[in-house]
Amino acid sequence: MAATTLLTSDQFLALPEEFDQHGNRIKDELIGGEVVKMAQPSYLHDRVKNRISRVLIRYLDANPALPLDALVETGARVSDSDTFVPDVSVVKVGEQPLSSRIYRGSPELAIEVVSPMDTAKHLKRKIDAYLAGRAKAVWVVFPDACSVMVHTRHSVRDLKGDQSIDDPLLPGFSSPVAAFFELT
Amino acid sequence: MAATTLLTSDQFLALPEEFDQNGNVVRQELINGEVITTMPHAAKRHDTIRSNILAPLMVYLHANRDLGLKAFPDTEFIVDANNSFVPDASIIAIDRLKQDEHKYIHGAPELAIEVVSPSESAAYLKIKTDAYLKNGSRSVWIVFPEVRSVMVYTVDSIRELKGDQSMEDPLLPGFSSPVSAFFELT
Repeated sequence: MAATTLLTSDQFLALPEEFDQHGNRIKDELIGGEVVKMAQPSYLHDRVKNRISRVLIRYLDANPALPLDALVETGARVSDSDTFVPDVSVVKVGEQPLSSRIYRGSPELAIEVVSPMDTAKHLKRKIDAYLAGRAKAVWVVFPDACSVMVHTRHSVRDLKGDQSIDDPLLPGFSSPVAAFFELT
Repeated sequence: MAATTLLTSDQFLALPEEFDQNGNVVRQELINGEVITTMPHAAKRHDTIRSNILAPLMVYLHANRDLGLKAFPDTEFIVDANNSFVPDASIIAIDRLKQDEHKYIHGAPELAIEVVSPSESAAYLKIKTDAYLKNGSRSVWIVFPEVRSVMVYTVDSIRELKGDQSMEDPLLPGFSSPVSAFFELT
């Protein structure tokens, strides 16, 4: 890691917001205490992210008894040295005050859609931090390879094509992985 | 990925070598047709870890010559028509070396080892891992210095090894080394 000052999540969240020359808010994350600028979004990345969130929201709408919600780009204070913005996350509802500025802890399911600029080092740290918290699974989505790597505490699987993705958190949910990438 | 002109491996290998301001060869790889300049690594740590991995492999392969395998650093592989990589370390069947007197080797190594650099792209690393396995690598070791773990990819499994766990591989019967030894930096 670079010889930079490492921050805690609380210090990070207390930083003033920064804006670029166009007045847009600069988004960053705290990864292992290191402040890391989030990659510029790309069209493909956002299309895949939206597709996955729609699939999950449709499932949750059809299963209103589940105390879960699917969020897009909601910040999560995952640990004392990790505050991330997962592309999509599934969280348990009813456990945190609605007035919280940020979700406290790791979501139950974190989904990261990989951008070309994401480094392998930071991605690995994020996966480990989510799973060290309460996440039972992390889906790492590779738009270029059309595959989803499903990480749990004890296993890693690489799913592609017709293979189905499911999750113990989402009973009855099943989708061919290819459906995430069928974009026009 | 980016809207750049994509090259084939043959076109890529025909490019003239480029040199930086200090006269060193600029190292490049071809990943899905895209020419990628490999970043100079955080040299000391990266090379130490690579040596820590290569040393026990070389001792093992020397003692098990009947396997017909050899371990190399930085050998160039034309993995397929759109991918040409230089794994940090690789294990190759000696037979393939005899047939091939060129400066690079056609196809994927039997075992490819990539030590992740601080700036290495996750997306490119995934494409490389997939391309190695699709073109004949029996396994790919992805080494993460920051978290001191090794992800071992085969065609049908992925495992993560760390700490006191032993690094083993079906290609190397009887080989065993604690993963933690790879990351000793003194």
